Amino acid sequence: MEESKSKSRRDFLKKFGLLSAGLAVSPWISSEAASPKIEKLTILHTNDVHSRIDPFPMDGSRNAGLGGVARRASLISQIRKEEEHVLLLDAGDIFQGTPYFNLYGGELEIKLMSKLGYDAATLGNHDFDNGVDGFSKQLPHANFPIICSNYDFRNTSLENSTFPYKVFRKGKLKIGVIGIGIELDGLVEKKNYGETIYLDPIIQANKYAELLKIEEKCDLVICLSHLGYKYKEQKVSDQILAKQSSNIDLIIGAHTHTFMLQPEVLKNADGKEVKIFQVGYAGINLGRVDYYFEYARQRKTSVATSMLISEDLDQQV
Amino acid sequence: MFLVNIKNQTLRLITIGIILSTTISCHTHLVLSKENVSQRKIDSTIISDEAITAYYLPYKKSLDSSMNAILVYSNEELTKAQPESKLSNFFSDAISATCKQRKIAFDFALPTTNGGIRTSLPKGAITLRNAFELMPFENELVVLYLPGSSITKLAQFIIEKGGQPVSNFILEVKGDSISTLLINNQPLELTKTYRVLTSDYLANGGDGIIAFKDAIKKENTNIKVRDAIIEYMRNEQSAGRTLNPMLDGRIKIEK
Repeated sequence: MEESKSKSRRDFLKKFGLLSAGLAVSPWISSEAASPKIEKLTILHTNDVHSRIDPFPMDGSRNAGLGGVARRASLISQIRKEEEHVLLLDAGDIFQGTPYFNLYGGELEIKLMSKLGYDAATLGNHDFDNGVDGFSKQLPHANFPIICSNYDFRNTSLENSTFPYKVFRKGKLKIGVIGIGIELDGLVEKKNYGETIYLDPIIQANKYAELLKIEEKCDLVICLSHLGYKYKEQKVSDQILAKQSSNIDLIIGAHTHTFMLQPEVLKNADGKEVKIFQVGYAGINLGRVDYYFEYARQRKTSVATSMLISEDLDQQV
Repeated sequence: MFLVNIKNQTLRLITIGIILSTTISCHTHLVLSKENVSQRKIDSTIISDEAITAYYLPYKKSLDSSMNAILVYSNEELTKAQPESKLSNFFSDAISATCKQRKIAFDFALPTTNGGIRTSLPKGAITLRNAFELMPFENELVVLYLPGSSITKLAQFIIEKGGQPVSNFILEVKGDSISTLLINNQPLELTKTYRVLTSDYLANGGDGIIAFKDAIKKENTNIKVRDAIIEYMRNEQSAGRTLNPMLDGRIKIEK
């Protein structure tokens, strides 16, 4: 029965040529086939820059001569000249690590990130090193949003100063960004995090990712995460978040200062792919993910991933 | 014939439906078709943005004027490693030496975890900047009074973490058991109270040293961890010495 039905359907289609003819003569579909429209989006990212404003000094140590905000600035401007749609993101630990932070309290780090045109950042544990007040004091110097999806800052000086998520529009693309922070107890002194409440990272990430993907219909959902890449012990990490997540496409990691040679691709709770990428620390590397979106004829399209990794990457973890 | 005709009409409707839905999907849905992941190392091949360099120059000049001061010289580059390293031994011993000179009483020291040692020290001149980058935090040293029975817990923490910076504390582990545990070169006495020199950060629960929760007393020294290191460096320089820390097997972990 099934066989004969499908046969008669095929005969019918052959006879009237409805599908193929319809597609061929439809004016706007054919014009699109002639010049397929592609939207390209370039994500640039840093993590754990740790007040590293100058390059590492030429003192013979491992990272001698690497990094530097002025070089990062020119690289970013060059990419912005080449690409129409760029998002520049940071996954936290902006503060602490050089005397710039001890002397100026993070003012210069935030001012420079604003000059470089960062679109958003999340908070790392060291961003609390001068207390919640120490960060909120520098916030007026930021012309970009701080995204925190799992810190509740009520009754602190950061109340109403951060965003649980942000939607960015680039061309026809909508990109949702969330920010996930690490548990502060045991890592940051109580006097520094004060009344900040740490909320379950996986529940919060999934809540806002669903809102962004389903309700806001974002084409891409990015999670800035300061959880850390992975741990020996059963501590929540980017790997655990990735596996238990839904609706997140990319996790830009931090905290563990991991120099990943390539992103790790894991299956999320729905069996869909989610990528984790982290590029070391101290502004030694600039991470980059280029996304190409097409107006597809079918909703289901296979996704090809190609890797372009620069040759001389640091192996330090 | 009649039946077939009806079927055909139904099919036609379905087919038109398919075309319409395809049209809508084409019109409104962007689908991810390709991703390239890459990273660029920030090195000297990238020319600095002069506007940015100029922008932060006043901050840099002011910082350099104080931070370029040379404190001492090191015979070699000191880097982190576990279970012990010349850097971790230097860190712990330098702080112990300063506190002893300042007449602070303690039995052994664990002034930081390995993660609290933030960078390496270069060979040659060690500047104030290096000291700040080695220990950027504003933590102060404290003395905790720990029951002898909690020292084993502390030893377990050190073992689990693969070794931590200590002074006056010798720990040898073979397989699953502690074969040697000496404080001030004396075997551990479970009934004794020991004074450990550590940081307020660790004493307040930082890095999860649960043994420190057993402390029966805490004394503040009002000395910053970093300042104790700087003081040691300056004293060594004044005495005409260079930094020359050694590995001495204070922590041995054999699986």
